[in-house]
Amino acid sequence: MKISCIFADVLYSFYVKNRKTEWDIAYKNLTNLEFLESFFEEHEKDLINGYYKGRVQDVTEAISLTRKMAHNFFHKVIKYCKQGDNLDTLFKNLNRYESALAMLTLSKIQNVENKCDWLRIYGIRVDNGIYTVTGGTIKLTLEMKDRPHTKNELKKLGDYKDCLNDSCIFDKTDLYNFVENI
Amino acid sequence: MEKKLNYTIVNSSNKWKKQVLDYEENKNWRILSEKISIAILRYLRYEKKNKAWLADKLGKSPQYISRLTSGKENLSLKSIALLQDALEEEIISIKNIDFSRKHQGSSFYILIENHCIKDISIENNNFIQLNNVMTPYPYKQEKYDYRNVIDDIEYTELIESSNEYY
Repeated sequence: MKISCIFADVLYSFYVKNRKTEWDIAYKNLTNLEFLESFFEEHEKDLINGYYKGRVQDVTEAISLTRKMAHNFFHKVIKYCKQGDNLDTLFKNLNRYESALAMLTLSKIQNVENKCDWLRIYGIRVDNGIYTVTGGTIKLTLEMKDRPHTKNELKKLGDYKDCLNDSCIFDKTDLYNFVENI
Repeated sequence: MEKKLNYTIVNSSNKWKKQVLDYEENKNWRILSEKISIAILRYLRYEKKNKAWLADKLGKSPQYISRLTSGKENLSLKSIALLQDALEEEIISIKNIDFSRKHQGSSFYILIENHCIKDISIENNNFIQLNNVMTPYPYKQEKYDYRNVIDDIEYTELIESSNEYY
């Protein structure tokens, strides 16, 4: 397993073997019209009758809206990183009852400003404003365990956290030392 | 899954950043192109066709069809017309709006086959004639689909009689 820097010293991402980084995969999927069309076709029941019932009329509107939101989402990350804003204001704790000061907190970015705030980027908080991305998806149900694709994201978060633990990376000093020593 | 981190590569591909900034720069036409792409994708799904069929029908390469369905193609009017012919569907339509009416302070204006139906306002208690039946025009009704009305209108009668009612 490898770890790769997305934005200098603040945003990292995991990747496995010859695959792209989890960040690149999330970007590619969430901005790909064919992926979105297949996804919403497969999850049409969740879209129309689920948690977001009444927010969109059909799959076509959902694709168009999601593509637009995804762009704003990634553009916002670029702006945050370029301006040097603290990523803690962008990421939120995945578990609302977990302390923000806990080590290697599971976190998410959610597009809360939209009526359909179903986009997610998941990551692990290594230190103040420093995150490693573990994946991203569209969450149409209340809980992550409700659907296989969100359940898989939850599993990845756990696996990658174990990976950081096993490599003794608990804060930014550990992470930077690890990067320098390779 | 291998549990221990054994490699680190710093400064990964910046491709995504370039793509985001490029999209931001060309957002106005990319959004339109994507709407066409979505329409094509939905058409292909529900007509049980594939991209190879479309490539054959348009006489274009599979790479062109991929760009077309990814919303990255800046389509010309000619290309759109060819696409519509191939799908036998109207993908885009251009509204016949006479903007001079707007600048004259009209509260509501529509055009039917390039003939202007005069302003309709609730204050004047106006009516339009549908199949010789006097029907109040639901001007205040939200999201009213006037196309349903248009289907029933006898155009010539309406235009000729418009002065009488409006």
